[in-house]
Amino acid sequence: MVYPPTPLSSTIPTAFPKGALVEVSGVSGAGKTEVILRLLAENAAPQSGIAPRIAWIEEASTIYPCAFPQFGIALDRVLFVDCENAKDALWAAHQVIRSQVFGAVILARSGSFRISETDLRRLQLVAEKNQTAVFLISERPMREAWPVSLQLEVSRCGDSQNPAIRVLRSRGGGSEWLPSLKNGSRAS
Amino acid sequence: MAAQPEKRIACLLIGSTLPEGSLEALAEASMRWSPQVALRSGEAVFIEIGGSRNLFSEESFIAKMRVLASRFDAHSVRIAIADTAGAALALARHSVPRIDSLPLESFVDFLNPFATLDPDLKRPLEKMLHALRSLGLSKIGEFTSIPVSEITPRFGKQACEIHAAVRGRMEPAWEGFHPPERILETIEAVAGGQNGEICADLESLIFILKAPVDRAMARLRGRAQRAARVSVTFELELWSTIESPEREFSVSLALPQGASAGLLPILQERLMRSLEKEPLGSPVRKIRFEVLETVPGRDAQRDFFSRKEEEDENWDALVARLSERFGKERVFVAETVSRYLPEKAYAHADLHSRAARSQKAAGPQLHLRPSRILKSPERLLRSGRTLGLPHPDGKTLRANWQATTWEGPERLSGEWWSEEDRFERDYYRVTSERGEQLWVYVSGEVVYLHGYFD
Repeated sequence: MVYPPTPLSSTIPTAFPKGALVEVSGVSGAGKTEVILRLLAENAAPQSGIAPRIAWIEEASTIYPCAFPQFGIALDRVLFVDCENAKDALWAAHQVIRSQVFGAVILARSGSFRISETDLRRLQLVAEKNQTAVFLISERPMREAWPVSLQLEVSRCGDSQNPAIRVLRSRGGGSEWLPSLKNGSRAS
Repeated sequence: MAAQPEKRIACLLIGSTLPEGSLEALAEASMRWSPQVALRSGEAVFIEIGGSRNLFSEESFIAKMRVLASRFDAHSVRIAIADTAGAALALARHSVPRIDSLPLESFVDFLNPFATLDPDLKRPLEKMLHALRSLGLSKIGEFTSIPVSEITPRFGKQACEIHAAVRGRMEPAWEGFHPPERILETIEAVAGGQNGEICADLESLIFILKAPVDRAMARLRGRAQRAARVSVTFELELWSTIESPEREFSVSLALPQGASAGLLPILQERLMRSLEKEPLGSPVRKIRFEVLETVPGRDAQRDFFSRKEEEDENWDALVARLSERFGKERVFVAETVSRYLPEKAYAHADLHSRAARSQKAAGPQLHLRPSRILKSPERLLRSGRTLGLPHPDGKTLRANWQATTWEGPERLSGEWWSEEDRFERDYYRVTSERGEQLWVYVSGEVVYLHGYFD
């Protein structure tokens, strides 16, 4: 068993994409949540002494808070919101982003959670306006998700603990981490 | 010994008639600037701001007081600041910049700024004013230029007192203002328009409700308190179809609120849900807003160099709004606890922003924990390398995995003293052919799926 996990910077660049939507997809157990946790941990360097706050919104939540400290994320910086349905989760995401309290908002979609293009666009606009990074977690990548700046697919090969990340789509521009991502630093 | 700070009294003189209780409410809200507040019944509020000189300038204080006064419908106000309450009142009443330029009629304000003395005081004062005018004096500056030794023999004892009061050497006792315990604000729910239509829809009601909520929260802030439970009562038109002429909505706040910006969306959410289920039977005539429970507020002064306090306000407002909609159990900050049973190894921490900040990140654990955990472990069917997750009906499989490696075990056992919670589990990190990583445990001969290294 490896502890601590391999830093994410060895697999993907870690600049925080503020004001943009990033989708991370993969089947259960593929490692998509760990990718986001590592990304958050490596970007949660305290600015002026205080690390940015994180909101974790899920429909029928299965996130395990005990995993956060092992990735270096202090639990007191994370607000968990467990919603009953997709509509509530979207509503909560809008409220959280508008509060301007959080540096990153994670909206995890379950299998039945569909986000329409209109909802995605609204989410993108509010994220952009409030300069908040929004991560969407899903099992399968969304189609026609043009408001999403970056779509990543995560999978594991064999018994490797470090998940492989495939860039499905990047809108380009606006996200400072994209150039380095294109320069071959992605995992194979 | 430290020198006493110079006294500076601000007087807020109301130019129009206010609704009953509004001046007292305004005085209460003014206590956020200074604990020394006094009242001249129906007319003026006095605030001693000399001790707060390092916190705000007099100019900024005047601007803030104007904003506060407008919340209590006091749109026509005159504010003056002087060394004594009498001087501040006289300057505000006559709108002159200097005490010397005040007319002689302002003597009464110097002698009786809080309107607590005998009303017969005016009679000898009139006599003295007549004598002064006959000597050709009209301004206070001319009066104060008379030597003190000549004042008492020529105009009597009262003139000597006035002379001392004008020069700031004598002042009536400060009449402290003590606000009533109950915080209740009422407003007529009449919408705009030529006919003064009565409100029936929620949007209009929330618009009208904002004014009493603003006032109540300003009063609470004056007391350095925050609202923990509030109630909104709608007085309805007495139509024959309604059973009760009043509808009351009591809201317990998950996090106490100190500003109307945070409280109003919570009230709106609650009212919307309640009225969807049971609409109002008739238009609303009057709205009452009452703070039923309070908790001590934040006592810190504003930090000019960070947005921390603003963030704390936003955090509290957001958490209260989310808790109101989803329930307290569904909106939480977690903290790890010393329990071996994985599903109970964390607990909900105090949501209050200050308490949350005081926590520290937990140290590294010996064994990695998965990022996903099922609410309750699910039994797996094992057949050779295959692990199957059956449907609740037990006939078909929801998912199946071809396990390639079993990493472990990590033996967890404990809570032997409790019949209900006793457990003994061997946990494994199972990797499937497709690369998925599961967290399973074996208890007895049975394999359970408990989470994913997702």
